[in-house]
Amino acid sequence: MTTKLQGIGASPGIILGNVLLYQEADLGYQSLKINQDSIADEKESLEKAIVKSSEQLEQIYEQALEKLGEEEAEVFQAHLMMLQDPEIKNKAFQRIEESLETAVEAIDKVTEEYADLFRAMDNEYMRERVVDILDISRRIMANLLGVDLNPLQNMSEPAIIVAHDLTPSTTALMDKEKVLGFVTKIGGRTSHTAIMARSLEIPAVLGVSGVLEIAKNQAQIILDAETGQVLIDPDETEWAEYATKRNEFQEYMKQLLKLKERPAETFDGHRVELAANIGSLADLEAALKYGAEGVGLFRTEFLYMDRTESPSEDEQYKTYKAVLEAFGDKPVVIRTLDIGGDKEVPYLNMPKEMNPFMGWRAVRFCLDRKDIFKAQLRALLRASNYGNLHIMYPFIAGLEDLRAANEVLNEVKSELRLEGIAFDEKVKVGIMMEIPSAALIADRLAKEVDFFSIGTNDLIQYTMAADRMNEKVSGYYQPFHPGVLRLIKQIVEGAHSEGIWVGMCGEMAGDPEATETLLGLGLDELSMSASSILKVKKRVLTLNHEKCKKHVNKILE
Amino acid sequence: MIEKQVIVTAKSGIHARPASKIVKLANSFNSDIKLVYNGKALNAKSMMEMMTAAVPNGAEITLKIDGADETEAFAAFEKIVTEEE
Repeated sequence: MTTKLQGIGASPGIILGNVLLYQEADLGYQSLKINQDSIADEKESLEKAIVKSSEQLEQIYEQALEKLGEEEAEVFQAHLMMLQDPEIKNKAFQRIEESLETAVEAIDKVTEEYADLFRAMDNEYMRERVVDILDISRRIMANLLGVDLNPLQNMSEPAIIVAHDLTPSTTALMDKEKVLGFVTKIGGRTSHTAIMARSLEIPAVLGVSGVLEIAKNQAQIILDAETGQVLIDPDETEWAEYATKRNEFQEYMKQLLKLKERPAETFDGHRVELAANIGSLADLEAALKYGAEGVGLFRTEFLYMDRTESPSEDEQYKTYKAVLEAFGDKPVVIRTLDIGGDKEVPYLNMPKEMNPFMGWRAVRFCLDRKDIFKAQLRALLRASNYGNLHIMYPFIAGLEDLRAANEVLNEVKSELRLEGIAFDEKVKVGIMMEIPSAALIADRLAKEVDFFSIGTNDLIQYTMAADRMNEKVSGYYQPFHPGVLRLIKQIVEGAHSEGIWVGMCGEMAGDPEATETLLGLGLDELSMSASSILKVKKRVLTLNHEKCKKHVNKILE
Repeated sequence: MIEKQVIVTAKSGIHARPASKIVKLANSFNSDIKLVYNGKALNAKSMMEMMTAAVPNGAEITLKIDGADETEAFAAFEKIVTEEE
């Protein structure tokens, strides 16, 4: 009988197939005392297992580097360093010699001792390192026990992966040709699996509780990421129904792709620019595939996350350069570090706040930590030679913030000139419009910048005083509230009165239901996740700009 | 062998400083490099030891460095535990 389960559609698509249950490898072992004369053997096998684990990790690192880019691959470098740690080996050898433990037990105990030390630390970043230690410990133990740690690497048949969750080292090595889709018990739209699935364009439904209890290996399964539904052991009617849906979806995507080269223009000739939001180099491929006319928002904070220290100026420079080169003379808006709020970077040791969304974040943090801010601005300016760079400051509350940020930018420019390092002297500078106080003086701010981009997620939550993470007040989070729309209108008019362009890069920009209103409000650019671009373009093509304006006037009256 | 007491003046001590920096520095020398703190000798070439060291600002530690390049290694380590971030 069919079991229907509900989850979160985290990567679009509809797919039918058979289940491949991905379970954590069984690393159980018996606790035995070894003989004095096997000490050397145990030590040798541990040595070999560490070497083998290093080789595997090198391979994972190389693949991750190639497929996901430098920042995503970094974690495996850190794992390699831990794996080759001389003390782990020394301590394990000591246990083998003195307590006569097997190699597998010795390594398990040693890494568990370290894990305990990390768990006891008062620094959140350090506590999270437990995951890394256990990951390398599992790898060494699997190699000692001869267990296959990653069955997704050598799949014989195409299948839909059902798992509790998937780790970076699992997905980096999996056989992408044979993975039809992902269903996981935990996770949501921003989890590692979701990001991975979207960049590989594999449909995924995550956060499906109960799926592990019901789905058996080889069982038939249907995954509909459009509705977030998962059907296990469907009957023939359902199978046929979804096979049709899948084909329709694929046909719809094919039709959408035909729109790639067409300009986004209403049928009365009003042109709007459709750009992509990206978080890393891994998102570039999809952005280009769906015909993004530029990057409307590069969220650089991902470069700073999931690592042990800030990315170096050189590393940042390489990343920015690659994005700029990919888009040639098309505009690329790179937002400076927007950290704080819901985005934590443990090594920055930012204090816990009562109200982080209204706290020490983004440009407020950068203006206090000029070392970090300057390194980023230097990297951006150096990269500006390679394309059409637009630098955007997030979380500007008024003129003071803007001028303070520009002052740092000018300092960096002077330093570069002194050092004889070339950069684009006419690099564009703009601000993210997400705080109502800035929106209300948009006309004034427009005199001092080259562009605006409206961040609706925050602008709406501050205007409506509704925490977007709090389900109890989600009803107050209203993108189409006349108050929000008036504010957007004021920003647009402020920009246009000074002859600068204004875009939007929040969730609202990628919602085809909002396109009519946004065109009516006069936005020049809409930036969204790559997969939404063609859907929004399809909507733009059916609209009449004059009617859009009337539609907006009616709402605002 | 060089054995000398130093006071850690780096603002956030040793544990929160990127341990990888210290480990990389240690591994660039041939000498055996130990940081003795609270009676425990910690191997500076070990990521685990440095990450879990939790040596606070103001702590007295003993640097024990033994090997052909011990002089250079000592100078470099004295600098890294006392410099401001």
